Amino acid sequence: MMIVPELVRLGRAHRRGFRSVTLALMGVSLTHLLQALAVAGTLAAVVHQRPGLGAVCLGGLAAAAAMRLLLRQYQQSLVSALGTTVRQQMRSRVLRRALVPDRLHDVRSRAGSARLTVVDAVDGVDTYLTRYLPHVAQVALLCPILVLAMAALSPAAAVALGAFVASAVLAPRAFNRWMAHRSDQRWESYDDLSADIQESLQGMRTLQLLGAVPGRRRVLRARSTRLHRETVRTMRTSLWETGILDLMIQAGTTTATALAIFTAAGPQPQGFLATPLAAIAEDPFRVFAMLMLASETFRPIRDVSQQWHAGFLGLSALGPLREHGAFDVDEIGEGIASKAGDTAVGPPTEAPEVSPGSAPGALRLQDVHHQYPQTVEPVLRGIEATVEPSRITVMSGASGAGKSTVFDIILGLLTPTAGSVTLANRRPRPMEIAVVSQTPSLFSSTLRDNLCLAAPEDVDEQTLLDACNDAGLTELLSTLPDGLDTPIAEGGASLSRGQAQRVAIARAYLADRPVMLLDEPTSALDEDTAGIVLTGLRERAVGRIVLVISHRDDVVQMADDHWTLENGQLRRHGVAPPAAVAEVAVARQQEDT
Amino acid sequence: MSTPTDSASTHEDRPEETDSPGRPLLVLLRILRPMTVPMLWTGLVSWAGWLSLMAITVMGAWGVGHAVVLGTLPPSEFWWGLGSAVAVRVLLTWHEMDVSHSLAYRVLDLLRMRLFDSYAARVVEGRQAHSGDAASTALTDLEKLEFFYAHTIAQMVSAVLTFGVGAAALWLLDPAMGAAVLALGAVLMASSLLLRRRMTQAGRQQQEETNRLSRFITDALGNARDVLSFSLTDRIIEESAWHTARISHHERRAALMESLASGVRDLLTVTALLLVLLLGLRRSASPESAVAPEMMAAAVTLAMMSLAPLIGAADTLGKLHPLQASAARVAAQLVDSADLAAIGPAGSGPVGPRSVPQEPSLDDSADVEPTDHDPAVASRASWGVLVSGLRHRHAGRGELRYPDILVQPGEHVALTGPSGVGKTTLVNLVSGLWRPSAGQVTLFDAKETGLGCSPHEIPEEELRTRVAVVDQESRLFRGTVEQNLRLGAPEGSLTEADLHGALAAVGADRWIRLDDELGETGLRLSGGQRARLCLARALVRRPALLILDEVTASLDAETEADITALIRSQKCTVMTISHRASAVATADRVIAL
Repeated sequence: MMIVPELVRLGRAHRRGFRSVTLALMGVSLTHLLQALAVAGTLAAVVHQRPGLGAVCLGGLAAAAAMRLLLRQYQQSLVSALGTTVRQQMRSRVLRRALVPDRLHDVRSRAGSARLTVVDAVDGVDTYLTRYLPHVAQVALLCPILVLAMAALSPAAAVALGAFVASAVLAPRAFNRWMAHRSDQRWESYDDLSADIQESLQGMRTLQLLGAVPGRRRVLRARSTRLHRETVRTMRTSLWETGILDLMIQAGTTTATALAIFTAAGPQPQGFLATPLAAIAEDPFRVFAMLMLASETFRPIRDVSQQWHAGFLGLSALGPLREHGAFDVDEIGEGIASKAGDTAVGPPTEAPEVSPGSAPGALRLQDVHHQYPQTVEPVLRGIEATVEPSRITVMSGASGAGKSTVFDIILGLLTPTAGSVTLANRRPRPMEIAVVSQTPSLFSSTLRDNLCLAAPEDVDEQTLLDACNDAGLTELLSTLPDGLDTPIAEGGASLSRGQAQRVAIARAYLADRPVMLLDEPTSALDEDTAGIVLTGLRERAVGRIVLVISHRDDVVQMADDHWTLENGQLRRHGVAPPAAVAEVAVARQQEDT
Repeated sequence: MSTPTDSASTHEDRPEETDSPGRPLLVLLRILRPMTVPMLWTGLVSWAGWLSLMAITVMGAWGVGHAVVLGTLPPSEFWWGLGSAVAVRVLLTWHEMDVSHSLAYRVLDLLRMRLFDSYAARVVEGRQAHSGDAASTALTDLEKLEFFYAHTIAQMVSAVLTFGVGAAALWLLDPAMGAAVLALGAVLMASSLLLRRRMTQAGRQQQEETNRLSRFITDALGNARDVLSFSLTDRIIEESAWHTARISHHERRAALMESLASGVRDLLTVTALLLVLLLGLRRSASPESAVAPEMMAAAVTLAMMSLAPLIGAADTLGKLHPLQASAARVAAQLVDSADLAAIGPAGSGPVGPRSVPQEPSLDDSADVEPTDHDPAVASRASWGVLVSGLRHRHAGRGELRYPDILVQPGEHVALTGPSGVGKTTLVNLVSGLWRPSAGQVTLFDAKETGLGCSPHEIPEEELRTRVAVVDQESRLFRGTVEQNLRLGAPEGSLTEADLHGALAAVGADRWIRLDDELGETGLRLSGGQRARLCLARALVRRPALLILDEVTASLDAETEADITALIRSQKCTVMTISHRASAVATADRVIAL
């Protein structure tokens, strides 16, 4: 029997649901028992030639069958309810663990592997918990009762039956550890394959252009073959269990049958085969009931081995879930805010509702140092900067100088080795920052969904169109057949890079947050489009803190403040006085309109 | 680019909508023809298993019946027979599980690779599936079908045979009982069609929802940076819980119907039991016309044992309805790719899609070993490009038309044009990734000017080593820098010195070593660093034609100057697509699209 301590604990956490599922299951089994006794009664009636008794027993038989039909429906709906809860809980836990800043910089993190865990492994747990485990519980609860019932008919048969039931349940336990090890190995193979397939699919175009598809195919083929090997190996181990189980079932039933035969026709009918119930001592019913009951006693065990696949799924799912921390309940508050703890601080009392869109004060970087693990040199060595609201601040620097690192630190995705980031003399809250990433990341949903990703729930159409306008998307929108409801392919592949970039900008506008960070927002835009986007940005900058990473001259030219990141430090260039900035903005606006 | 749904619906015989839901599974069976022998063997083993089980139970009941009614002990042969039946049964059960599952996983292994091929073909066609979707088919759907391969065929074969033997034996005992069981057996099998349509539908909806979840999770994890930056984790979790609830809803419907159908089968079995017992009781009325009382227990058991495998088979058939959708998807992908391989894309010559084995077969012959054609020997001369009357039609996006372009071998040209003019499509067409809907791309050698051939007439391996593309969709893969640089290059064609040289040329040797791990998509690196490694990967192959699409967009001015100088120094033909004046300025000639 594949008993997984973590999953049993999980079952305990859902005690009520689990209990009712198991009880309903036992109800179903009891109708089988009832049916078996009815059959024994009818057989006895045939021997006695009492059609009346036979008819009563047949009525009982029919009633048991009808009851079973209803009970099974009920049990099934309980299973579904429990399954839904468990899956939602596990998915939430795994996602919370997978969506952490650390993974962004972890070279081992793989998209395909995480998908497999969130979708398949969680489903495996559900199957295990709602199907396999209740059957195991049933064996523990029902089999002893059935053995006791047999004792009423024949203590000797009960002893024999008890011994076989115990061996059927206990003997395979010896395989448990071996099995757990094997199944971990198997999952690793499955996980590798899954991640490789997904990575290859996502990068298929590059693989094609490099002529690397056949080579990649060979790699996957090898992985797939290895998975097959590991699976079959794991399965064989588990099938030994099944074999032992079946041996005990068959031998147990046969032994009980033999005892029944001896009870009826043996030389010593009243010796060790006697029944404590004198009333049925001579009745053929007793012998037929022994025959039927022996088979019924093993029904729960037979059911367990029929659920073998469900158990196997649960066992397989265990490794990845453990790896993704799905069982570390204590460390994960079930409803706590998602951001890394050190940035998302500030008790609610200290944080009154921020008026959206206007910054409460300057964003200040003080003596920020950072060094990535396993690197020789620090990236940032004492960054000092103040970014004022209503001004456009541009940061440039050689590629790899650490500009994106600065962004990640402001966002709280990275914790600096030293130094602090403050907004109006406190830590910035995650809900205060909007971003345009260097690689625009889009969901495979409609354009509208992508735009509203971080927008307030009640955003209206006009606000949406205004944001698109300021991001230079108006022309694109007019060419799309379904406008805002046009579906977007994975990773924005149905848009050009420049279009995707502008969608990301509009998304940041719609998020309506006091701080906006833009990483190379115009890198894929031609000069005219970039001009439109920058004009829009100028308008949106009013009241907000806007920090842009860019190398492009047109962006640098419109900057109110310009910093260069060099050797881990920020150097400031010339400053335009605020008044001049406003004039330029107005002038540009007039030029454009 | 069309969405996955679109591409499915354009395919005429979309299996979900065909009238006979049995088809997708039959299609899969056709693919599995080479597996016939192991499948039949599994069926026979399963049959023998059932027969031995029948022997055990019927013999036991026979013994009990005789002992109760006549008070006689069975002869010693009986005990030997019973003992060996138990031993045989246990061995057969084990063997059956072993062969059936091993077969199932072997089939999965093969289908997985076939699916990969079909996805590789899809990129060529420009209608790429969402990687979350595709991975979900290649892994999740296939795993579900495990059940189908492992059990269905064998179970059908053995159920019918076992039923035949049992019903015949019962007929010999009492024709009336035989007839009753035969009739009920037929009804039982027919009951597998119960609720078929609605179960298939529920299964399909469940699977659609699961894919939606899979896509959503893939997107959320793939865009983790933005999700974290906007602190959307709670939203993501909420939405995934919503998806989970939707899946559960459909799953519950399917499960309840399945349980209802098997409950009905249970009632039918009980009816058979009732009929046999009633026929036994009739002896009270006319003793001479019925089964002897001592044989009644054996008769009842025989009836049950004949029907049991049929119930199992009908249950399995019933469970297949919800799987139809999974099967349909797998079958659709495979049939699709088979079609593509056989016919080739409409109106574009006889050659099949690239990188797809022309005759995908179930054994490993699809892994074509590198041909004896050695690209290293091919001349290092540059290739010119002639584009004439070129047009390309996108599903739902109108037609792109290109002016005639002639690029001489060794010439460096820059292509410019506003966003959306179809620059990326041109890259796809010139590099032979896509086929144009009209017109011609010709690649030619300096010596054979005017002759040349279209990219599709050049052997795949040569084309890919001679034409290098670096664009914004170029990706790095998990693995070391060295593995990435060698990707797709013929074995042994690149020396360590070549690799070092390439790294140094793009100035990457300052921040990375050949054996550094990159992580998926090169997540360790900044955008500019990734672009430079992709360029190094292209240059190290010493291409005849280099196509660059906005490669320098994410670089700072200084690095850009270095990279531009590097490109300038290349002897091969270079087509640069850029908006940036600096990139355009160094070209021999500028072509406006």
